[in-house]
Amino acid sequence: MSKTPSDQELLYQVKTAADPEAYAALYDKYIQQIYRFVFFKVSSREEAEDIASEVFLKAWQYFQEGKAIKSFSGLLYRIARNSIIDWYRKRAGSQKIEALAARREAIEPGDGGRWYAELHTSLDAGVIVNALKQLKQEYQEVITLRYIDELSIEEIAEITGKRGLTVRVMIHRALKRLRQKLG
Amino acid sequence: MREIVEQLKRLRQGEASPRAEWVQQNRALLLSQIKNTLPARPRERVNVLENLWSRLSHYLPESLVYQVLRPALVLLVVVAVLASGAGAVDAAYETLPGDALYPVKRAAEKTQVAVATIIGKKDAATRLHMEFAKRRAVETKKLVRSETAPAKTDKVRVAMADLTSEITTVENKLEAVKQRPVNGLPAQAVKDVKQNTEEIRAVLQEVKENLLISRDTADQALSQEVNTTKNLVKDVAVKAAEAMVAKHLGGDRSVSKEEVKQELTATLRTVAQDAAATQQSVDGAKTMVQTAQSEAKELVSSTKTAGGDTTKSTELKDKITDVANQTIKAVLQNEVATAEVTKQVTEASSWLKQDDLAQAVDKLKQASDAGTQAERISDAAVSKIQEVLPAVAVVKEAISASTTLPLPVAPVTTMSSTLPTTTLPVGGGAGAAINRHPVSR
Repeated sequence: MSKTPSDQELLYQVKTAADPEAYAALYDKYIQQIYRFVFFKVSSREEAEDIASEVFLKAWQYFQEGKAIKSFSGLLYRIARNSIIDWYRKRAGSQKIEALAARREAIEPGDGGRWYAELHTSLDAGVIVNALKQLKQEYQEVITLRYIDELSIEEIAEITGKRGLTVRVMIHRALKRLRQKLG
Repeated sequence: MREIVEQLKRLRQGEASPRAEWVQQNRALLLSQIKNTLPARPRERVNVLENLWSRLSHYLPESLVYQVLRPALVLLVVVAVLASGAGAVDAAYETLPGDALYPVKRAAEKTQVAVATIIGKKDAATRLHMEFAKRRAVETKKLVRSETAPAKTDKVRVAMADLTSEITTVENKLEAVKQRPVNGLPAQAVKDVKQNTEEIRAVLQEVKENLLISRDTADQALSQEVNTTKNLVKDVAVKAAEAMVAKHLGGDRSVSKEEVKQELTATLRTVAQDAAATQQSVDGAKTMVQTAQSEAKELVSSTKTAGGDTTKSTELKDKITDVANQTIKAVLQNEVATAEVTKQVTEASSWLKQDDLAQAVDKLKQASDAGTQAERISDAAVSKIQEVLPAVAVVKEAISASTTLPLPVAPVTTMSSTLPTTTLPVGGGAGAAINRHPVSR
């Protein structure tokens, strides 16, 4: 058994004592995952950083309002997903690229960003990211969560709000689709 | 396929991860942001058991914790308490609302009611409800004496809620008697209910008055809550009187007509006394505020004579004048309400003389309602002067410090800071008569 306090214990501290240190421990645990989740969907590192930072602040406000929370990671991913949608809306408004936002089939991850350019220095990474970004958003998400963040099926089910079996099927189909894209 | 998965896993490294430097900076920023959202509040003392339930409900479904685990544990403790002998029973018996073992006491009481309902006499459960309501009233009195805010407010609220629950159960039974006098509680039990509710009312009246004259605003607010429960109890007492009459007229002669008349006379006397007491209170309030008013006027003129700044003293004088006017208005309103009480009581007595119980009890009800109205007016007036009297001392001190005038400080200080709280005029019931003001009766 690990000596680090569980999510539940930390959540309890945050909920009952509004303990910032307990919240910081939750931040340490999830910041990498949330950052990556966001990063694959936005165009630059700076934007990913802004959104990831916003996610944790919003989650804290959620606690402050005394709302019930079943799973902290579930809450973070839900906030992250909404923040990304907001980000797309803003971008669509300012850059007049509504077509991109409307095309749910493939919201491009990291296009035009430094990360994408540098990844192309590695042929393998470039090819796979290119294929990944052509997948529809829910396929991108399950692949990111399953293979990059290495979450369990149950965790993904909780985050995406789908049943475990559906998640398995989606991962299977997403991988199949990815393989087709890789040709 | 495996190769694709391996490639995906490799994406985790490098650029797909956040910069360590940013992670740290953002952490510090987040901490400072969230600390700013926290109100500066003292840590509340949390009841150990409540803490346990709250902690458990965080991990387990709330319904399981509060509807299954907690009752199960309480039952276990009840069994343990019962099994472990008289000492442990006493331990729970002595607890007050809000204490850790108080739920055990309540559970034991509820068990007693359940057993009495099944195997006891028709009125056994009602007797128990009255007994427990009395306990809650006495406990409230103890709590008000021994506890301090904010725990006091919470605990008194628990006691008031439990008392209300007991009284409401009894009230429903009285209602049933009124509807169908031949059924339900026997006349003797109804008489007992009436006497007990009047006792409870007297205790709550005393508690309310002690809270009302407190300097603490939380206490004053709490006095209103106690007053609400007290008024409920008072209404139930009147309802019991009505039920007694209904029983008698319905043919239950186990309580004689003379006894019914005695009971009604006693209640009428209490209603009349209470109304007179509210009048004395509001008159006392008027006297006090008028004294303060003339002192404030004196203060303004002495400050002016000494060439000092009269702004503060004038402000005070105006405020007191305002309160004085309101108090005079309250006196008049109270006189009207009290006159109504007297009128109804007189009529009721006259009906009693003619042996018309139904008319008499009807008048008693109207007298009681008018009495509640008189008390409300008097309480509002007392509460109002409580707001202004401490200001007299404060402003006076400030002015004397700044002008170093040889001011006639004595009367004002007497009014506001050295005034024993028990001499403040408060209207109300016979139960509080001992503590009441020296205004002549």
